[in-house]
Amino acid sequence: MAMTTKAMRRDNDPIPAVAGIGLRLPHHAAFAAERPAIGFVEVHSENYLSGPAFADLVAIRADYPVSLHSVGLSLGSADGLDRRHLARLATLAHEIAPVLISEHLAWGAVDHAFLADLLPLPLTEESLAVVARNVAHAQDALGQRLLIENPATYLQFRHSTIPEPEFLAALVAETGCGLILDLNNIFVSAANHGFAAERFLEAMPGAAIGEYHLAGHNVLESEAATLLIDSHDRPIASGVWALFEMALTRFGPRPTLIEWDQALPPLAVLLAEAETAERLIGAHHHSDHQHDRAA
Amino acid sequence: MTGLLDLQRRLRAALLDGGLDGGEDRDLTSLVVGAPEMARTRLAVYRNNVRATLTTALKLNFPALARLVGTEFFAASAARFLAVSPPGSADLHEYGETFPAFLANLPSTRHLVFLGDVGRLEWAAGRALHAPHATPIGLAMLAALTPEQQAALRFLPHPSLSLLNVTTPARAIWEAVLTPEEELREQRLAAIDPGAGGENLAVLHACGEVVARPLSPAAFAFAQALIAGAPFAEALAIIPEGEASAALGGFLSDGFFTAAIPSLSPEEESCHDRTY
Repeated sequence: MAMTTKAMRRDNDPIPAVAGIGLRLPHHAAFAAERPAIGFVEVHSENYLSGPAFADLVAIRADYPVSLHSVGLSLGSADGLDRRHLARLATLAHEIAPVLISEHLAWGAVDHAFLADLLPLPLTEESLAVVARNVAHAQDALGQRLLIENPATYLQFRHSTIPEPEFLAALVAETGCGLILDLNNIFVSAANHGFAAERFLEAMPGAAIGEYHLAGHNVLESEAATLLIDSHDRPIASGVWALFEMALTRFGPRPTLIEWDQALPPLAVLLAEAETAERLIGAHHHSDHQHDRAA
Repeated sequence: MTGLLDLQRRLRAALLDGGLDGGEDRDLTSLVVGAPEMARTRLAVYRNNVRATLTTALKLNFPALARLVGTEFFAASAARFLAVSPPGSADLHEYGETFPAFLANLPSTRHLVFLGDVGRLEWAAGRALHAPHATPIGLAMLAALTPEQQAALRFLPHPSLSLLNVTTPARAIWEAVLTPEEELREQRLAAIDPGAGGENLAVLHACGEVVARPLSPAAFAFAQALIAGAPFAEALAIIPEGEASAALGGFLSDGFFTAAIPSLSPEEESCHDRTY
């Protein structure tokens, strides 16, 4: 385990393992007024390609490290990436100089129709080839390593043959991309598909993880099924905090993001969640440090 | 063996057109792990997400239309629209250019003759807000030139500028319906004669806010000619002599143009581009 942790500490870590928050448009004014002490902010790239939001982001970038998190690149599209969108993201990345740039293991576009969702992929050799080709294309265009996030999923395809952690590890090996480990997504998917979150976490290629994501989820009850939904509309569940601590122990500290997208609370609530994350990171930093000195 | 492209096309159809209820793609549910009922529930999560996100995007791009037809009708119309016209861009600010015409042509809205115009105006305003920033030129630069130099000038339009012709009092309705306070909003709307005629509008975002400026027919044609790249002297032939300087003064103070360049032959121009 110590070896894994050490291997993770790359020289090119773009930001230290601190907590950040997902910044959303309704919080811009409060954020500019309060200028909270926070390690970094992450925004959804697609909301900042133009207009007043872009101007706000340029101003924020002067004072905070910014992470660009895309939701519309559709890395799983069998018919390839949308070149115009990729070029616009590259322009945004050039202007913002993000400390991290990321997307999801998902698809959302086919035949030039964008469905504006993170849709699940069958985890097959064909999908792996498609995603690897698209990730390589995106990394070339962006001039930066992408972090790919494990998605929250509500269904699995019968013809999937590759477990998700193996799929992600193969993607890392083939493209040199990094990963976002979203602990809420693991929790949600584990509940929805009946696997053990801890086993999933243990199977992840830790050295590739460049960021942790944390968020809240809700429960959808119906006659046919009870599903957890990655709703980003409430505090992080205790089970997700527990997974976060497991990840910290197993993989070591990383930049950690608090995401909240729906039913936005006051900014202070997000900052309090970030403080909790920061405290847990700090506790693991501290034990790492002692470990290093002892070594 | 299900190919990925085929699967994605089938999912697109099922998620957008609501085929999970009616013309159900049974083969699709059979591809999903779990009993058919369960698979339908799982697919429905995605279908609901897609529809909710796209409906919200349309509502954000067309807040005046949403107010004019009411939330429920707007959502029902959006559901029909997105099934036939999904976004062509991952940037949802760009979604819905054809939505005003779609909404205005529904049998139940045909009596609201202004809907299409209000929607087109709203779309132009949204595009203006998201156009690249550029600094407009003022009147002063013209004063420094000789009449001959002025005559040869060609103007570069501000990236946010668009010209729009409406046949209904769309601008008054648009401004009134977006009034936040309800009582004042109702007063303003009641004061508008829906049968009033149309106007020529220039929509742009050059001086801090999005504006829709009414132009006289002559000034509209003059602006069209200048935006199309006609040399100043040529565009002047379009507008009565008495109106020209006031119209140009208005264009420049509203920020219509970002540069005025001497007219050059195409060869000289490309040379010019390379040099600077």
